[in-house]
Amino acid sequence: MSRDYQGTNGEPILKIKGLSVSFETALGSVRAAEDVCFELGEGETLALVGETGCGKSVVASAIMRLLPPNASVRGRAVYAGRDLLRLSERQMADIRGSEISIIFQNPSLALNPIIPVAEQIGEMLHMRKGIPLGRSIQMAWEMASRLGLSGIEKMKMFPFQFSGGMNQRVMIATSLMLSPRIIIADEPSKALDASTAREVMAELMRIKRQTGAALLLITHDIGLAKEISDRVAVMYCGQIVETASSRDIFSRPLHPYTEALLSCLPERGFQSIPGVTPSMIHPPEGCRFSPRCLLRRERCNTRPEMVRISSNGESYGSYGSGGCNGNEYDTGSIDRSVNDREVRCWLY
Amino acid sequence: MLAVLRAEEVGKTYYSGLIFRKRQRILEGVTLQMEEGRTVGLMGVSGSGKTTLGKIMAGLERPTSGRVLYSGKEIWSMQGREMLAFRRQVQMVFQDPEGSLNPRKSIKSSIHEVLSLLKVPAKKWQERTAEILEMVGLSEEIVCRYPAQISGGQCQRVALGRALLLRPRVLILDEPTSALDISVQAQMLGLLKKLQRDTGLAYLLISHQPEVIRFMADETIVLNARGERSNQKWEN
Repeated sequence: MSRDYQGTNGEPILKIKGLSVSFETALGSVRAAEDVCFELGEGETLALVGETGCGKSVVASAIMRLLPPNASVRGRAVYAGRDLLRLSERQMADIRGSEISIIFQNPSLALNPIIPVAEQIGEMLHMRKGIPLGRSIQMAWEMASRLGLSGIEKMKMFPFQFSGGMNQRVMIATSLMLSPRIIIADEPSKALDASTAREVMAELMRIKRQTGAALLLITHDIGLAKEISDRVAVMYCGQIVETASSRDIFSRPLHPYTEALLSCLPERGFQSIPGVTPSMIHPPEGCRFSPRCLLRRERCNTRPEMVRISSNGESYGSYGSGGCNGNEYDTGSIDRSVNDREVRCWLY
Repeated sequence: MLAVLRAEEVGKTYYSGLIFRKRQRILEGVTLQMEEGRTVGLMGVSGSGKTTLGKIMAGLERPTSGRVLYSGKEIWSMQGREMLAFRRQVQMVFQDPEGSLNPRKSIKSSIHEVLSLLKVPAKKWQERTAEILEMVGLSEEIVCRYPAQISGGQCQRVALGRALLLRPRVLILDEPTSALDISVQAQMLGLLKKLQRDTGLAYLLISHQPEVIRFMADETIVLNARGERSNQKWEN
């Protein structure tokens, strides 16, 4: 079934173009993200998956402009016609929470330990919309109870009195209070056990559907990505190596890394990927997966371009080391559909 | 086959409060046996006492009833060299990989600390460190880093490497892969299987993931919510 993921005006709600992030450290420059390009449609759920440390969270923090001062960021993150990376801090502060919100992966650290949870959830309404504090807290209780945190006594408690899972639900409630157009969820199920994770994600998806928000789901939980996402972008060593619909990624992976990653799943017998994850300071020349790739060939020593492949399997466009900074691919303006896929491999 | 480590009718009750003492029974009459080169899987719902049983088997907690035998001898009656040998030969790897390492010590210091306790001459530390890192599939690049600067999977492998430095006979693995992503989980499980084949280690694998237990265990024990061994049949 074909599904158009673009908004009503045909434009995606968020366009990430050639996003590169590096950090200067004593050991050298860590290239945490390189030439990251993707688009997020209105109401769409896009999962960004990959191993721990591949740069997924860095992409989220770069979009929200929450990276530390030693980070150097290049590229564009276009939201509603504005490049988020070039807005002033004041303009960005207005967008955070009300238009784009983020659910951080370590809720116990992200919440203020000395403010009761209900106040923290309701604070957004009070500060941004001028709703009286008492009413904001009442609305916070309602939101929290939808996520399974009911009871007045619980709402008067502090984050340090909550378990990791309960704090995660507080974080989710906080991020949903202002009905943002984009929710970035960075490992939202990480601190939750399997059954709680399922319940919380089901509620998050229900609220997302009600509000029509788009979700950028950052996760290493492949099962979760398969269950709830419309499209999946697979990231390896700071680069997106494949983007396709969820159905295509799981049934017909094209990139050897995607294939290898799926082979690690329990139902495929925990087949580990040979070799070790490369250094982000000195990543391999050419294709970054090539040292671990069983299909490696001479050509893999040079850097592959991202190739766009249509639903009938024909490649019809590409962008190279300059990233997707241009307005369109080199084939010109193309009507894109969710069935199109992109892969960064010399095999295609 | 002779059991390396055996728990007999082990029970554990915690008490809280000074005046009105409250009793909380965690485990009740659990018997299990670990043999060389075999893996016992331990499953159960949250709060069923899996980690407590692991700690009792590792000699980190005393049972309130029953006993634990290591090579046929009750562990809490051991003294001196016997106790030292038990402490070295039965190791536990915990669930939280970052919490297993001292955040203020570099990976090199954490490994050298163990070598120092083992009285390995300082000139051999570098060689032994390289050996153990290779065994757990890590590059030497990480030795200068601190736990917060490496991934969860790398921390877990360092923790496993530190345990392996002691050349244990028994490893108690408390959810060793639950904090890891699938590719690192697959690597870690493959590594544990290889180590068992090469060295004949006995594992007690605590996990809530049936697929992990199915992949690793020769025998599986399920604890119910009351901390008793369940009669529920588990097919590996």
